[in-house]
Amino acid sequence: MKVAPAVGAIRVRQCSKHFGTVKALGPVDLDIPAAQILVLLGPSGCGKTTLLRIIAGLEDPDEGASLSIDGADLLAQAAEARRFGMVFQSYALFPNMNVRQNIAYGLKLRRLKPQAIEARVDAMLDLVAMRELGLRRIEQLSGGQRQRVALARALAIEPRAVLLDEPLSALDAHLRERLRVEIRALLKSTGVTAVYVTHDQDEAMALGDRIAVFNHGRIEQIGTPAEVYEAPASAFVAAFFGHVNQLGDLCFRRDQADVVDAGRGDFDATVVAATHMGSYAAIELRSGNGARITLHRFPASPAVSARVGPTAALGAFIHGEPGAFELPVEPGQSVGVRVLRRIHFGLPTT
Amino acid sequence: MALATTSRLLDRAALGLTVALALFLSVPVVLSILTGLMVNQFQGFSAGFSLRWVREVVEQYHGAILLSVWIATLTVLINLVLGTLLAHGLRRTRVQWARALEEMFVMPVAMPGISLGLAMIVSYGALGGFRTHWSFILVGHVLFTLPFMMRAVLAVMQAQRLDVLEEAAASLGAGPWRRLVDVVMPNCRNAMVAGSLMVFTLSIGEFNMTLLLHSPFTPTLPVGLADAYASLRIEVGSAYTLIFFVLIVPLLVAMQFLGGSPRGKAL
Amino acid sequence: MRTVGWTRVFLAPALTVFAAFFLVPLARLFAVGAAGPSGWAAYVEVLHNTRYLQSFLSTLALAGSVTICTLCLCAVCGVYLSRASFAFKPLLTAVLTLPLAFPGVVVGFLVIMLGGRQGVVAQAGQALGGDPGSAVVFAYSMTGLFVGYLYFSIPRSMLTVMATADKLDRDLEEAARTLGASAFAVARDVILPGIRPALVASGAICFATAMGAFGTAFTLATKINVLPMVIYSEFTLQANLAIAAVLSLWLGLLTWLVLILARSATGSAVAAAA
Repeated sequence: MKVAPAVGAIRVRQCSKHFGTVKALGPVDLDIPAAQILVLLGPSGCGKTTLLRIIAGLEDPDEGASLSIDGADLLAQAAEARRFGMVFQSYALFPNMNVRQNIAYGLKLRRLKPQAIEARVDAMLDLVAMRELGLRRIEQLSGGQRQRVALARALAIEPRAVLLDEPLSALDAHLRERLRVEIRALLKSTGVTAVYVTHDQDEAMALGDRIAVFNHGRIEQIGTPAEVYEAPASAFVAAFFGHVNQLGDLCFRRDQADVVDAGRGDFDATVVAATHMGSYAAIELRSGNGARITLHRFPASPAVSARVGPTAALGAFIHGEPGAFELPVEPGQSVGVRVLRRIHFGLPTT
Repeated sequence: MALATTSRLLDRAALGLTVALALFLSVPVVLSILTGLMVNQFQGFSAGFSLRWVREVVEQYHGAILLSVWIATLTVLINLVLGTLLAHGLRRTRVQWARALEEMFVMPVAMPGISLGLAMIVSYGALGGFRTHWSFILVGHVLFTLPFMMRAVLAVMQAQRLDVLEEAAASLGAGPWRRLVDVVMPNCRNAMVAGSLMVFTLSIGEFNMTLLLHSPFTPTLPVGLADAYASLRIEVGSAYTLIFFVLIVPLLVAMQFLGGSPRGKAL
Repeated sequence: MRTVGWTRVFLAPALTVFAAFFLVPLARLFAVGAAGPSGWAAYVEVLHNTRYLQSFLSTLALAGSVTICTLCLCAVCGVYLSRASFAFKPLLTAVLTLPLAFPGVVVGFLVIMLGGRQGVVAQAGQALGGDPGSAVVFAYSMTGLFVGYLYFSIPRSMLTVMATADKLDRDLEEAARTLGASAFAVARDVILPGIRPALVASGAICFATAMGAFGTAFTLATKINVLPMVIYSEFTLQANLAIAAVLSLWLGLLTWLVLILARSATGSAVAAAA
């Protein structure tokens, strides 16, 4: 069911924001095509929330910025006129109203007829599968339920775009995993443009059509999840999606390398520690010039054909045989490291 | 945002209302201070400044003023002891009882001052010596201001940190009394100061109860004020009010600084 | 660690003083109320007496109107002061909250300064060309009392409202704005419900205080017909101790109940001013 008109392309140009003398957002240019979900990803204080609030109209950008939707200038409009549905981190549900009244609030302000309002609230409740909870008071709802009401409320006004500010960060991990799938499905089914702020890289990968990675107020890279993971533009972006081992200009992820006989790999290192982590073995190494390397070694790791040392257990480990809980190496042992896939930085941002 | 709302109009209206209220509250005060310093009220300042009225008030009423200060000081000292012991005892009491006791101690504040004064006279008025002594007034003031000291100190005492400190002291061998003196009280100093300021201010200004409790031998500042107002000489009343402000405003400012305010009944 | 014995030691001094000088006198007052010609029936008779009933009702009306007026003013100004920032804001805030501790007598005098025969309003009226014989003098009537009660109610309620407004969740207001709410709608639908507990609590305190207020009426005139004045005159002028006692206890009970209701309705944190 389409909720929003099929337009909603947002354009941001030269947008920056200072709070006093502190620069929260450096000049940023961004294009968000209609019906796309763009994730703004970054650590706290990187400016992603500031940009979201500027788009919403809750903050004003510095001079020289331009913000428009479908060509129409947004900066001239106050927040209440922009018709962007917003989902807050704290949900911001009105405690003095029940679920239906919360969802209906934006519609009431628009002075729709009562029947029209009721019909729309019903439709929204169905959309988020909360029809029977319509008359509940907010404090009676669980975190996940509140999240859905917040989303329904934002979508009820047929927004031109939906802005979400870390909506899942207040929930526990397994609920987050479930809900992010639901949110993406919901946003896609309604066809609305969405800007989603988060600091969680897994969430970004699961939800976004494209991800904009922020660092200190600037966008380091915009790309699809595959692009930012496989071809990160910088060490910062690469590190955001998982630990990156750096040895000079040789960069690789923890699960993209293996231990081999000393002298047989790309470089040699000494084992510092090796630990069972359940589904993998974590091996800490120190290279010749003192760099720390971390490897995550999974049973039946691909493409390891080298024969390794005298330990029988190591052989069993490499060939993926059962009984793989023996650690393949010991502290102090000198081994070689073979990198299976390198990371190259510096590809242009899109 | 410097604005309170997103509407300039609403903002300006609210500011206007606030300023009007502030004027309403401050103009009479300023006027009365000025009148107390004028030579002649009808001529205004064209006749010049004079401390004549202030001097007259001091001559006539210094007994009352001093007595009020004396009683207020004693009230503070007594309530420091009573209030701190009481708050500490309440901390150690089970929650339902503690709440009930708190409510009970608040009763003298909830009841009208004249009722309290009446009750005291009815019970102890026959004891001539007591009746005409300043301690008769003192007792009433202690009862009326005790809940404020109690609340101020109790709030701080109930902070988690203090419990842990007491347990540490106990594990080192300190008994209940020592723990109170060495651990609890030093950490309540701010609350005790705030409470003292509050108590002093309330006591100095207390009128309703004191009107009934006082005697010709024991007039207090507010009683003198009422007398001065009745004298129909507005400069005298103003001068007396000025003295009262001089006493009380520094206390109020100090209290706002410490973050508390007197919430007693200004009657 | 919590030996009961020591707890009793700590509680004893305050309890003793309280029992001796409050509980006992209260009990005695209760007995005195019944020592008049009608005995215990006096407690019920008083409720039927038209004169006392009238003064009770006018006190009620006065306290009620002062409360409503105070709450309206403080809701607007309290929220405004909590949000806005401008150069002289600290000064404004101080002026609005300092009169907290002024005793009723002083407030009465200040009302005379405003509305007495030589008061600001009278002089302003004359300056604007009024006839000296009909100067606007409101100090010595219920109007003057109303103004006086407003004087000491506003600072107190203002503080409570400001403290609550400071803690309001701004996200709610932003959410309302993104849904299309104008400044007025935000104030009506989000801010007002948010400060409602503070308004109820300070309203109750304001009401109870106004019911029992005495000093202001005493200064302004002895012929103003409010209950505390009636009690006072019964005692001093009529020497009618029993009636004074009975009326005092009824008034005390009423104010105590109102304050307890306020504390339980909103939690003691907000109603701590009682």
